[in-house]
Amino acid sequence: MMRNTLQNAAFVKWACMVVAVIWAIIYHLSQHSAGLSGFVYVNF
Amino acid sequence: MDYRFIGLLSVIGLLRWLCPQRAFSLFGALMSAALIGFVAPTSAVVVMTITLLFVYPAHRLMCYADARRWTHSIQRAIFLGAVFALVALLAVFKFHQQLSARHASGARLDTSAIELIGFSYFMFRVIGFLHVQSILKQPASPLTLVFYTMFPSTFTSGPIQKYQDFKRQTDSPAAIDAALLTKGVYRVTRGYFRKLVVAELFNRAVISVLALTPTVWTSGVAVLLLYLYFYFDFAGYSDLAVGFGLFLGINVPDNFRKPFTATTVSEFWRHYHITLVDWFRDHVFVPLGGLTGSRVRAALVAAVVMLLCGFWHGLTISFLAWGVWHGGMLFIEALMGSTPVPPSRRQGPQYWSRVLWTNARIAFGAIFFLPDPAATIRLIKGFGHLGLR
Repeated sequence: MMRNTLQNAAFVKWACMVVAVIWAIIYHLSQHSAGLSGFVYVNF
Repeated sequence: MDYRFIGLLSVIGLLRWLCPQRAFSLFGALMSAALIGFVAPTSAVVVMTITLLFVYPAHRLMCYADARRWTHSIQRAIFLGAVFALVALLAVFKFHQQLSARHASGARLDTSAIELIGFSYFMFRVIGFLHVQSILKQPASPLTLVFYTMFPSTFTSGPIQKYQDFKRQTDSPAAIDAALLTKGVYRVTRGYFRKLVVAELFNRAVISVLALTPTVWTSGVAVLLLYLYFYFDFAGYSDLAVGFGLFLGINVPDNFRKPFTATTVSEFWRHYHITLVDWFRDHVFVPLGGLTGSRVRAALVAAVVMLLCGFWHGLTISFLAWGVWHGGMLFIEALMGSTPVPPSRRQGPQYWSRVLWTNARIAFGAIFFLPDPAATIRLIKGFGHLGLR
């Protein structure tokens, strides 16, 4: 029971992150004509 | 690392399933070279050439010298000569990278600098490899070495995996099962979330705050936002490296372990960019006598390590200032013998005030990471204005 609850909580957390990432990508595409180029970058 | 790199990495992750266990190193070396070659051909050629024509022969020469019982000083000279050549090459590269970055438009580096960025992490890996091999003197396989130096998920910016750890995993590759895949998917998702959502929001907030008139309030908020931006950006990247590493069958070490709960600066650096700090500890701090000498010597060596770490980020006044800031804090802590709060006393106002004080000092150092030195100076000046009318 406890294990199921924990697994469900982890799944909900993961699903929320997926939704947020998809939203970020769609938002980025709507703002930039260059597509995804330069979106995932390393700058350190 | 860009979206093409990540896409190809996913394809290679799928191919990994079809690869027989005993051909893992061959598969890894070929796939790594092909992937890096496709995304960053200059880096691939440079890294492969140095690995096969310099690092590997230098390593074999060290093994040969040991087998023939050459004197200790000759063996040491071979090792130090090889490291000196690599460090000189890294310095030239950094200078070149700085020239590329100067031509970049805006705050971000241009693509040529990004393409070459993996080079300095490559140097960490090969210098670490030569150092460990100068002690162990165990002949390495060139295939495993190429796989190690070009391992795609950590190629651009670490984490810096130790050669022995990597070799152990390529010798007996882990079976890819549901548990490992679940962990990998979670880390990749968290990595994207941290980078594309959280860090991006902090980045936008930083840009907005930097546009305001600098006062102690706006400078304070900017410092906090920058601190969080750098953390989430890098921790997100590290999650991606760990997650994709799992898909390829390699357990990549973690780079962060709750750094914000640190109660001293030295404790913070044991939990933030862990693999880089470990590298400096193993290959600079310990050889310079940081562990065996007096307290003053340990403090001085710690300060020198932070200065080197600053210069490694770039040969600029800002990074020198960052190195002085962190080196100075570590120097004072080591001289005073400051120790972290023990786990049993990690509660209550006294503990949290130490956490706050440690984080405030470290966060201040983030302003030296602003790409524009004028913005750094404006923020520092802002701390002198209360902003009251």
